[in-house]
Amino acid sequence: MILRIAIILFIAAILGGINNFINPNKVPWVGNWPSAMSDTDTNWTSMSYEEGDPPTLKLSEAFDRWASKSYVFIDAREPEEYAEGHIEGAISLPYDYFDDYKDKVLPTLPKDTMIVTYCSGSECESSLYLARFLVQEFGYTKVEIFFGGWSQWSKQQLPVDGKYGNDEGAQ
Amino acid sequence: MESILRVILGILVAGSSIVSIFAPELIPVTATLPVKIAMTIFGLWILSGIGKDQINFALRLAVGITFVYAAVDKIIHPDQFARIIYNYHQVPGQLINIFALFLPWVELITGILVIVGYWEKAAVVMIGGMLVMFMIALSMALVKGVNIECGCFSTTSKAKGPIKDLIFRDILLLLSCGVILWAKKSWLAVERQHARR
Repeated sequence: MILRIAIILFIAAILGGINNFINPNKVPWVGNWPSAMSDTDTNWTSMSYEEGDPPTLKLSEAFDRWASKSYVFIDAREPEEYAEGHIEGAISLPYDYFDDYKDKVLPTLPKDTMIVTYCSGSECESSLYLARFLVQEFGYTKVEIFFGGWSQWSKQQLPVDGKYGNDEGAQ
Repeated sequence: MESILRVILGILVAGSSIVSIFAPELIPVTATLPVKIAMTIFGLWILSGIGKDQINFALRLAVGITFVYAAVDKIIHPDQFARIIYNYHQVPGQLINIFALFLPWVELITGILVIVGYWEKAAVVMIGGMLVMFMIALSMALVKGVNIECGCFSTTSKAKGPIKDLIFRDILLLLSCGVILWAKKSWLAVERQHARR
């Protein structure tokens, strides 16, 4: 019985290994999961951040939320930047063109949607303004800001869509 | 042992199906009425013990198909499955990807072996071990209140059944494994016919 179990496990290990060579969705052998990226995991914030603004997220927190698939990530950058690459599954709502996009995007998001906004990185503030706007003007209740943004996310080679990704979430 | 487990399994399957038909608010299963009626009949049949060989075969099919079905999507999408494992927060980061590659193949192989009835006792012990592992993972998620995807059958489904329903399903599967393990003979098993020659 134990020998048989060992043989089954051995065959499974070999097939799993072969699968990772031929499968288009292959993964690195050792995953780059957030426990391994704590050194860069600081909580960025912004000069304009005021008390009462939506809470901010560290990279690991943002990643947890992304991984849970319960959150909608909103890309506040320019449409061209979004098209070049964005966090996998994120939707585009450029802060600078908010009025052009709001009628298309906001009706699809109920007021209690769990939202994470982001922009280029710690130097940009459109994620903060967009989050503020969504809370104060449109009554969204569960908005958070990922200040690390695109630069931190892409630097860690976390999943993306767009020019560098698999285009799935691009619109 | 086989009879005791069979009776418990039959009572649970038939009982929960009947309750879900007549008092859906107690057991809100998202199955259609014909499926619930079929499950009730299946439970009563298991309970009756008429045709033990055929019950053994039916349970092997049920357990085996469940595991083969569960494995296929994970084998195709190890990246998505790794993300789901990560989300349980219970596997060390360095091991997540290896685990995501390895586990579905164990599910597939053991599932096939149980269906065809070759080495099915060893396979069913392994399936039982995996079920216990899944139940512990789900229970810890339930205790911690983590919002998880089950990742049981599909890596893309956003459906999140209540965790205690998933644990209940695992208990039924585990009982089925017990019945298969302690069965005196396996009906329509390749191994038995092979040995006879």
